[in-house]
Amino acid sequence: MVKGKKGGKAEERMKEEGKEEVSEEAVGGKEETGFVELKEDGAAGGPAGALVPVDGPTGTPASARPMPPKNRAIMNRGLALTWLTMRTILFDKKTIMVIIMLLALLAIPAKWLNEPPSDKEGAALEAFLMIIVILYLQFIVLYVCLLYGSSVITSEVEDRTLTYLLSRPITKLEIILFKYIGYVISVFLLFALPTVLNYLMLAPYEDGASGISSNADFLAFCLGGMFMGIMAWGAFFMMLATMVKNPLMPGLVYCLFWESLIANIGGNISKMTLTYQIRTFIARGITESRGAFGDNPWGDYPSWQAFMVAVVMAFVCLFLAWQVMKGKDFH
Amino acid sequence: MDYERVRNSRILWAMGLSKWYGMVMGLNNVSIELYQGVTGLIGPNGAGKSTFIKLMTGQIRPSKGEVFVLEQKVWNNPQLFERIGYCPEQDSFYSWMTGLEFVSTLLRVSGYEKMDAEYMAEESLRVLDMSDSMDRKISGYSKGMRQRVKVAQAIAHDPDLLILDEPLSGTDPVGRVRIMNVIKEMSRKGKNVIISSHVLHDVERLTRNVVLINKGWIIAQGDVHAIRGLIDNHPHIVRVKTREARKLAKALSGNETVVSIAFEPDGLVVTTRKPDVFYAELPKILTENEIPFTELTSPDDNLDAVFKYLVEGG
Repeated sequence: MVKGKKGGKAEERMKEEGKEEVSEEAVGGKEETGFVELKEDGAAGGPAGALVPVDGPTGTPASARPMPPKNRAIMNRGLALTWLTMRTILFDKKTIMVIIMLLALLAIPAKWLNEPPSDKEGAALEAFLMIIVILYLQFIVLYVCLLYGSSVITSEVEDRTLTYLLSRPITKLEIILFKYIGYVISVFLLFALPTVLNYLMLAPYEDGASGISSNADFLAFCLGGMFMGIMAWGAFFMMLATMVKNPLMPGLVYCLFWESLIANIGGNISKMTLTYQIRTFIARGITESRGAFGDNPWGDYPSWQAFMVAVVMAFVCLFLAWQVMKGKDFH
Repeated sequence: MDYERVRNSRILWAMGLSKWYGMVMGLNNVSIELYQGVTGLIGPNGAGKSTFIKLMTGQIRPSKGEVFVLEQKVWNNPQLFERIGYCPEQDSFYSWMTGLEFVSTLLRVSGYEKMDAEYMAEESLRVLDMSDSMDRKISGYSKGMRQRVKVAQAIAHDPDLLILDEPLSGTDPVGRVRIMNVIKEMSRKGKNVIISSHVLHDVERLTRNVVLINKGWIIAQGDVHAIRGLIDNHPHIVRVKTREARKLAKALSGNETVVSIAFEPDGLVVTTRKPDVFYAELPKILTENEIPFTELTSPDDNLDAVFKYLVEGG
């Protein structure tokens, strides 16, 4: 007779039946549980000499609950997969590093406030724009999107958990879409907070407390630009990850060559980069909201058009990712 | 009329099914029909069992040929998984989750309501005797517990067909019994099970209907007793993980079923010519001598010998 756990009805029944007990230590500690006995006659539960349970649960689960209607089931799948992706991203070790870095970067507005380099009107808002557009968007957001966007699907492949998703009544399109939504929400949350903190530190410098509300368009368009980048770059890197085994290398080339070098050389070719579209969206958006048109160097079309470029880019990339995934083995 | 009856009882059929991984052949031109009940897929490691199972669960795409499960095409047909439960071989999890979260999340991914998913997850974990530890993180589970969680997620939605890839590998004796009981109970309820293993004795306890697979080929299909005699002609190796290896060796030294005993850092490797008798006597020996043990495994060397015999005639 083997016993592996203490207490409970099972143990009481054992004692009532007068069966021999052996201490936990004698059977290998606490890690294995349950009662087993050697059955000699083979009358039931298998051939003679088979190990059969004398206590504990048996059988299969009670009949499963009915599957909800199709639309409801899709919503449940969406919520579950989005939450799963968000949980994976937000509690990742990489995320802790990113949060520490973003918190450390709050030293920049703090230093600016301590020693303002300029007293001219709008200098603090200009500094806010520089921090968000140059430091965050063109550098940190881009590379964080590469890191997370490329790993949304590949982490499931590398951890071999994709198997569980592929053996559920969920289409590959749903997997891509819901994981993508989880990625966008998580990464946007990650950057929205430091963006707001930067704004809250710098905006009051202009008009005191009222500067926060009167310059809210700066914050809104910066958050919008950030959303554009996270949305379109994430979809692009996700697509890349479905196409190549190691998406980081081509992703880095794209970041360094296309979104850094080409985006800054000027001319029509720069307009083909997402960085240009984001800068257009922010700069044009702010000037449009203040009634001043056509006097900024960024963008010769309205902000909504720049935003639509990002939407189309995300849509095309997700569509291609789906097409690749439909025909791909993940063995 | 007979054709209809056969067709209705057919749970899987494959025609000219092949899979290559680059230059490596995983499965070669397999044409097979499996019928209702429990079917054991037997073969040594690397024989092509997992490839076959991945093909029948739509995890990978056939290089050639077709496979139908429950009379439906498998590849890119996720709706089929409302009726199938799949327990993969790999030891992979969202290990930051608890056992309950893992099973209920996968049920939610299937489309179930949160409350229903939690209820069903608890039920399936209870059946596998995991109720006490279902709120612990999977990262802290033993191998046997992880195997049981994998089986729990496969049975939680009460599927018509349960496909298990090496579910007994690395399990503790109790987990082994629990999993075997689930399979037996599913069979009793008229459900279907396909189980792969490299240990004939495991499958033999569950079904007489086996498919032998080796080097990507289906070698034989039929009654397990037809190959039992072959097995007994070859030494069978059993590995027992225990802290009391010396004590166990002493207890086994007089046993007539034991051919040889070898020490390993974490236990013993025992060779026997009468595995059935040995498996029957081992628990008694362990408990009588108060020898703790954590794992009982059987490498597939003996099965290799049988396959060699079947393919080459000796």
